[in-house]
Amino acid sequence: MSFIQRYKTMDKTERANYRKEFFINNSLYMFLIAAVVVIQFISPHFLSGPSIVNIISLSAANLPIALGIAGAIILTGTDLSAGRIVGLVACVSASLLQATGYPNKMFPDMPTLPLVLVFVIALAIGALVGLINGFCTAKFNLHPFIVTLSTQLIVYGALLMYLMIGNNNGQSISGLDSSYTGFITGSFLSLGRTPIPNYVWYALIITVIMWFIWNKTAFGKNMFAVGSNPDAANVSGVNVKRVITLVFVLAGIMYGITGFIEAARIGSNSAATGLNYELDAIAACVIGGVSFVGGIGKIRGVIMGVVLLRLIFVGLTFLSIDANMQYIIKGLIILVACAIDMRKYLVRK
Amino acid sequence: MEPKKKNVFASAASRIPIKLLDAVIIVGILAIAVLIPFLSSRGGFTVSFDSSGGSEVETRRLRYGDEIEEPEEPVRENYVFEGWYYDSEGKRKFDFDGAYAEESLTLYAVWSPLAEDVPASAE
Amino acid sequence: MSDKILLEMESICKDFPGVRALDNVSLKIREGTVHALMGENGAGKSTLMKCLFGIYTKDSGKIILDGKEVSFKNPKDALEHGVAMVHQELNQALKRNVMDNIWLGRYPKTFGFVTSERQMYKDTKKIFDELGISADPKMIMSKMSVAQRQMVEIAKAVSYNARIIVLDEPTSSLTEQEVGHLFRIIDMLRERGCGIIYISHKMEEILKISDDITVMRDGTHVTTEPASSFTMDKIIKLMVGRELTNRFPEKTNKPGEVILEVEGLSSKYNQVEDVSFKVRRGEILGFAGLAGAGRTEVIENLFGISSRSGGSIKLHGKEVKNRNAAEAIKNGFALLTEERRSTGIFGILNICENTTISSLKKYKRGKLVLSDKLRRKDTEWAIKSMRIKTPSQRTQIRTLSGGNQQKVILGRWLLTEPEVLMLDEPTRGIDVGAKFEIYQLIVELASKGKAIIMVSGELPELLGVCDRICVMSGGKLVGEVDASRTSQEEIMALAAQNV
Repeated sequence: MSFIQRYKTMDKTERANYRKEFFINNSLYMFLIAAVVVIQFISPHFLSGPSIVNIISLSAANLPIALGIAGAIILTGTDLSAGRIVGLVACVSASLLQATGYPNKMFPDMPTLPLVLVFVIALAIGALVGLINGFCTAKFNLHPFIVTLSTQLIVYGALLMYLMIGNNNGQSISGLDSSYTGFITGSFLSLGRTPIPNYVWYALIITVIMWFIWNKTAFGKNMFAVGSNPDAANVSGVNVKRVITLVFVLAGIMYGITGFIEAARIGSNSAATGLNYELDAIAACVIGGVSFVGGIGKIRGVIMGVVLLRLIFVGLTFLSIDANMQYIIKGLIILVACAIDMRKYLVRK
Repeated sequence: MEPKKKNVFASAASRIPIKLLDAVIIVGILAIAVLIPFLSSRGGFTVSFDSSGGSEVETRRLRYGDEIEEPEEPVRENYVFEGWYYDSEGKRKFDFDGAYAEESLTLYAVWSPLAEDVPASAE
Repeated sequence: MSDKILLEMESICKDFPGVRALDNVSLKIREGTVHALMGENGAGKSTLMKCLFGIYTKDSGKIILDGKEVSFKNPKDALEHGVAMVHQELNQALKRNVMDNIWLGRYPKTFGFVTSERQMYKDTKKIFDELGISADPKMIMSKMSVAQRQMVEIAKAVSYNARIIVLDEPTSSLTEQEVGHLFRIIDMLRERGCGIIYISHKMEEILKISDDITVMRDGTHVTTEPASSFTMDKIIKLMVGRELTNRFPEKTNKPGEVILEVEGLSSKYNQVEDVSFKVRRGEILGFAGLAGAGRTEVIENLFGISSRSGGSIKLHGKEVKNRNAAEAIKNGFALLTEERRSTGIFGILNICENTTISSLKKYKRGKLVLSDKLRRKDTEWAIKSMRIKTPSQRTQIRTLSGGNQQKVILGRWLLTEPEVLMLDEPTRGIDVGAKFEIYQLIVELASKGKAIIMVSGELPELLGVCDRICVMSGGKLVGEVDASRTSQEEIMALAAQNV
């Protein structure tokens, strides 16, 4: 029976009930969209061409990390090391792709390396940390919260040490080679007069690949099964440990991609790069319907969560709300999103 | 079979009544709705100028979109003012042309020492 | 026993979109009686109880408790008015101890806010002594057997001075001995003047313990009569609405040559020791024994989800290791587990995903991509062959009835094309009509040449469906009997050997 048929056969109380449920479950979306409309009204440049390109660009920069973390959430876990991994990869990538002749170059005698090589190194670093996360979670039955908390600190320490080597001495790394910055932030397509940076398209490609993995491969199906009921998955022949490990490795690869892009995007990388990135990513996932209960999540939800979150924060900036104050709003949004999530899936009626 | 690992989050949360969650959701959204105009009215970005040893330059408080005007050049004995930079090491110069406030910022004055030799003709 | 009516549910109606779940159903529970409520799944028994406990709002009708009309808002409200429910799948805080579970929410306090352990212990012990329960109030629930946990639930109901206690499938996980203990407690509750609503599919028990029996069918009340006027055939006929001459289907399977040889199977972490047996193609081999005798453990060992310390498994003469579930499936084994809710279904996922999860390899085109079309086709096949009642492939499995969920899992295993199909309590918690369908499916599979191992605590079921029965006791295989020539007494005698 399709939804429309069912709605027609509902009686008054059931319809009222259904409307109430719909209203509460989507209250956050409705509120955020209303807020966006109001902000546009107050500050008409909010949804102008350049501003929209800015919002899309910021969303694209945050999409891969959100897609990576979504996998961990689907397994009823989390990944607190995401941000620091992004930072480490960004700094390593940046250090290997500084322009020759740049006065403060970290490795002064190194020639310009091919982008592909550095990209592979970025992926490898991300995958390696992801492997550690996944292995410890799967093999030793530790909760991902604990494991990724530890790796977060270890990666941060590694980053601090890395920044001291070569010619660098703990400074921030900038002066990137133009082939690198051109590849990431250059553009071949514009919206009106505002150029759309290349990394928007890269993020899109990655999203399509993730959609494919989640929906069209046995690995994706196994991931949802393990997230829904690991014991049943085990009995059904799924190699639960391997699935868990691979989900974290995949997440790590996503963080590597984010770091590679981020280094060129922000131009100047330091130990602070990546700090708290995972919070935005997790928030975007929860808003987008990836449930903490496990086994539930859609790619389009993650996209929507990332874009909506970005819209709001750019909007708040337009209202002159300082970044520090924005944390309060961010926290409240996450709180409401979690309450809605709990209400949808956990509360026994 | 090994003992089953329960979803800690789930077993705790399933005992929370719906009414409490409804309250959290409604209060949360109302709080956000109230906070946004409140913070906006008290908001604004601070552009502060760290003159790194030179004469003090006043911190500006601007709203989004306000133009950032170049302040009066600070002075420092025996040093030449090189300009305002994003960082204290003098790597990225700040361009005032067309700059407008979109986040809080601290700009650093970068100095280079005055030449040592004094021209022989100075008296 | 008196004629005073404790609880009356009068002309209850309840509609859901597209279906009338309850149509003017009435129920009268007399003081000091056990009143059995029987009917197939979908007959409306659980809907009626949910209306009683306020989980559903009835559309019309009255509920009268002790002469006063009541309408409970939720089970806690009902409990506080003395109407308690002991669920089939117990909802208990397993990490806490017995006392905490019983007094949850109303801890006796000293000084107004400090919980008094001593008082809790005393109160708990008092109830236990009254009911003849010998458990320790301080014991952690997860360490207790299912039977003991059930006793705790009943004790909890008594602690609320419940006058009406609803028992939902209380004996599905109990041994003969524990059932006896339960019945003694029920007798005691009867003496105290409680009204017990007993929901079960086990007809022999119902005829033994109840005073009145109500039969429901398709949401309507068929009849309510004293238990003495019923026979098993009569109950079945009323429940199903047609003559069911046999509870079990005709056995069309013909056992052939031996294909599975198990020798010296011993498990590492439980008491299964030195178990050896053979299974033939097209044969249905039953495993009987008391709870804890090791029946489930044996097949878990065979399937690889329990660690083995010794023994060999030979399929078609070739040794197989079955070190884990994936390997066992590859070797042609399948295991339908005992608790479908915890180790069987993926509640949030839909039927297609639940059905195809174990055979995803089959749908790979190339090395990576899964074909949705093939998955849907196989799910269609499963729905048709298992006669699963569901609106669509994409419905969430947790909205299905227990019987239909079980059929989905059976379909899942059949898609892996196993040679040895192992079933652990395949008809637990399933009504008579669906049970028959599952027996039919089992016999059909056997007649197609599969070897089937069936573990069950219901002796009539084993005797009706199996060809041979292995009896386990205390972890050892104590006997092997021919189903057509043995009796319940012989099996029970063997089962009691190593207790």
